[in-house]
Amino acid sequence: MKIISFKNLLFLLLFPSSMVAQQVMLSEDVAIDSTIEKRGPNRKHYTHTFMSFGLAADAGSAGAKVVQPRFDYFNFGIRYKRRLAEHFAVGFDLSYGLEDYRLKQEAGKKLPDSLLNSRERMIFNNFTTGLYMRFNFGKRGNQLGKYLDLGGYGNIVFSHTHFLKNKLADGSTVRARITGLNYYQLLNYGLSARLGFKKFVLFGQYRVSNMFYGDKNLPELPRILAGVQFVLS
Amino acid sequence: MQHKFIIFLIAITTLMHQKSFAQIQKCRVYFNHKSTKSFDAKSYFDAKAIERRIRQELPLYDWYDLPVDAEYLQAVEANSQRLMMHSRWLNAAVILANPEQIEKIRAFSFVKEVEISAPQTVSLAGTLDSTDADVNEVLASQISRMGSASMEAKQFNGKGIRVAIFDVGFSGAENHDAFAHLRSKGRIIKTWDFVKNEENVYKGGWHGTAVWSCIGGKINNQWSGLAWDAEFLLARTEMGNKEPFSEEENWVAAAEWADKNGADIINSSLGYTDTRYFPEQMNGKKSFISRGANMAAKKGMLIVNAAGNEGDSQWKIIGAPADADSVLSVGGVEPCCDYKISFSSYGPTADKRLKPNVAAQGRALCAVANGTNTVDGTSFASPLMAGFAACMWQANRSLKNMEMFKALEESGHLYPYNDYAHGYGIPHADRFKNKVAMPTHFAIETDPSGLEFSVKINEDAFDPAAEEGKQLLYYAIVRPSGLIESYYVLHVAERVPLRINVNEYSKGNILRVHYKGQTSETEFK
Repeated sequence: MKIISFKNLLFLLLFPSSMVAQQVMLSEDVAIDSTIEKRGPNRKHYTHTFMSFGLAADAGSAGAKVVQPRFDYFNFGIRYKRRLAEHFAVGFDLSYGLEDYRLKQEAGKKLPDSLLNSRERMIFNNFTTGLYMRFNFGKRGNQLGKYLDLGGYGNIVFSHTHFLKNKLADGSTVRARITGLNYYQLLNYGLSARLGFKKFVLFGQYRVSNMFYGDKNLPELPRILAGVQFVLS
Repeated sequence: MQHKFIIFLIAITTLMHQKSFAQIQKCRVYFNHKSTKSFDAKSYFDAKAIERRIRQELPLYDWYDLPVDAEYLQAVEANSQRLMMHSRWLNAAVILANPEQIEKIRAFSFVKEVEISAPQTVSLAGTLDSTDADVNEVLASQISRMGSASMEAKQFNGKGIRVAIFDVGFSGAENHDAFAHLRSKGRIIKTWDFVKNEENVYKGGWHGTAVWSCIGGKINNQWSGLAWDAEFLLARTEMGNKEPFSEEENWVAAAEWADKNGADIINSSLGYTDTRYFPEQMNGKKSFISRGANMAAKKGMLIVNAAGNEGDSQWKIIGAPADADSVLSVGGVEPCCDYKISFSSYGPTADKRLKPNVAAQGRALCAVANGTNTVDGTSFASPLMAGFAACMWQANRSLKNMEMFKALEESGHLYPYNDYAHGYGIPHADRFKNKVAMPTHFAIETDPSGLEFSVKINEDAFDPAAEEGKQLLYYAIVRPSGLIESYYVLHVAERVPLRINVNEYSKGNILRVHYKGQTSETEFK
């Protein structure tokens, strides 16, 4: 351990650091520049936020057909990637998701009942967590590059709202917002795939679980969502 | 439903990643030997190339100049989708092949290594930004600060020196007034577009036009570059915004072409950085282009390359091939003053070698496709330096290329001081191969306690009215190994501009200071 003498201590008190009385035009510390980063798009660790917009890629089961094409899905979250090899990484993400389906009002409709309305929407808010494996293509520097993610997800639906809108014979409009419903499952899970080109991503996900309790005998809403995702930072 | 999902996945996968999923891959195939024992160098090389070899006491040819074995090329071509190019220097071929073919080629006894190189997008070095600087001031200073008046008086103008320029294209140069003097004298020896394999290079962008004008152009009746009587080889190696790996291969092919056609100097204002490499790979050995550049230097050519414009970005340091040890990497300085322009890339290399080596003005008035423009970039510092080197080589024809490299460093305004922003500074004709006595402008003093170093400027070397940036003191903390730990540039407004607390630095480190031509140092004890 280096012991500071009284003389040195006095000097340090009087002159706390190297002093430059003039204007500094350039100042560079090479040691800082030489540090090899551990965090970055193609480094050991990488964390970024993302935002997705998607639509139902299938029409839904008979009795639960939805209006297409329409933006039915929004999601915003944070993703972590752990690089294991030049072309392989694993990771997880946490996100908030919104699914908003407009039900087709047609004969044979069963979800959530057979009544036909002027307009009818089912909205689900959820928190999602996903696990994935990433396969990168091509040589690259500290860049996301091109990649394919394959994985699964699980989500908790923390709110579900059923919206109805009807026009009455007298020309007036009646809107209804129904919550506290008991026919949907709180937990869902499925498979996901993403194709990324740097910060632009095409994604698709397939819901394996049923959205509604079996004993309710309700047809399923679309299981496949697809869309675009943007890596934000 | 599950089938639909699978079909969906396959569809988007195929749509977006046709190349990635395609079986065809681009590879570099390196061969382990050459069966040709000799060839007729005199018929292969241009007379200028022969002259260069004789002048620099190099053999007329060596193993690297021998052609790639035709049988190997035939075998590789027959077992691939396409033979794209081959390199004598690297004894390699670039092919497109499927995995089966790659495995087959890998098994050939004459194949040393197969390196997969997928297409990638990379950023161009030498971004161009218009500025509103005083054009005449910029034009005057871009060559005068390297001693243009002195060179003109001695008729050093690059005559007899052949300069090859590798760039993205030379749009508008074929009719541009800036090059009329070169066209009329037949100074454009050859052109080749390595991207499209054709002669016309007057397309693809005006970056090359601007670069060329910084070597030998004439703008507003003034020379915009120093080597206005040199001969030129113009090569298009860059593809523009979408730049695949093949650009590095084009560069090496162009270097072989330049060698064959008698180039003395290659200027390349380009660099490859973060889309392809990591900073820790900038060691001059990792990239194909840096290896090719070093090989070009072994043939007696002086390779001048822009340090890069990453100084303000996260990448920050020089790219490839500016990282190669035999490449003269050129940083940029402000037009007003002798310190680094903000965007100019820093050194050192990943293996801690000094880069950039020298510096030139990072803003220049250049010829562009439809006129002239003031542009920023080390892309223009590099050709200003190439022009200077051409003139100095004309004046000192007996110098070998690496002697020229060293002499250019030694003529820098900071020499022997150096740092990772300026190298040895801006070369000047009057300092080239001309040792001037070091002036005494300051002293490094130690206080009686031994705890403080101070730099005291002599009264006659201090101008209290000096404009900001015009009276500079450079200092660096240097480790015993020679690695610069930290470095600074100060504008001197007082006679004691610097006090250093000795306790802050390790014993054995050196404080090195430069001021107005004097370099002095003292050790931390």
